Amino acid sequence: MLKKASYKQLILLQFLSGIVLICAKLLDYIVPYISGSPTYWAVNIFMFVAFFFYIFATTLFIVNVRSATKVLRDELTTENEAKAVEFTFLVIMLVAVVGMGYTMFSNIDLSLNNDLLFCIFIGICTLKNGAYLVYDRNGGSHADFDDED
Amino acid sequence: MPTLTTRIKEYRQRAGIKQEELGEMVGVRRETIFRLEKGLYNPSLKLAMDLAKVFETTVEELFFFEDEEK
Repeated sequence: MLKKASYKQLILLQFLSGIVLICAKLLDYIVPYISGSPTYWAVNIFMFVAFFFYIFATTLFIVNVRSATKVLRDELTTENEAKAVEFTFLVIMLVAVVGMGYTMFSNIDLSLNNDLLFCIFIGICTLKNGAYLVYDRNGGSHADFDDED
Repeated sequence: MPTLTTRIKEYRQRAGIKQEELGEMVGVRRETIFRLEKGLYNPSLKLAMDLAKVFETTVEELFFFEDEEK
């Protein structure tokens, strides 16, 4: 598995685990308001599974990048990662400016609780991974098979 | 504006090398070789020179502007 996984596959795994974790966290936040305690244990289990899936994906990424025997990252990877980070930064700045503008011109005090902060941090990482997958898409499924000719 | 074109695929097939093998030889991913051959990516000078070295040719022979070819 370590030798076969490509960089894009590792990023995809991280992206999916980020999405699952955000969904689990949002469910964890919403469920107490919409249903009773019987379903809460299921949400707790989902939360644990999502959390460990995220840790697994991140660990696999780190281990694979450090110990890969084939070329995993090159100049094109660096270029696409830079574009993905730039895009993520622009989105963060846009959201921050809109949020600050909203609080400035309204009487609403925007405070972030721990759950929302958690989602934001995981969301930023997931957004970056998603942007990388989009920028790297032209490598395409064709590139997963050697020499289509 | 003239488009940068490449003969990498031609040279690679003549040498009987697969995309992944060529990638390993010059230190890039197979996807990068794929994109180079399709003209979807312009390589760095070092990569261009490494590719030229593999095929024992010049960078100008491997990469050219379409107008010059005509």
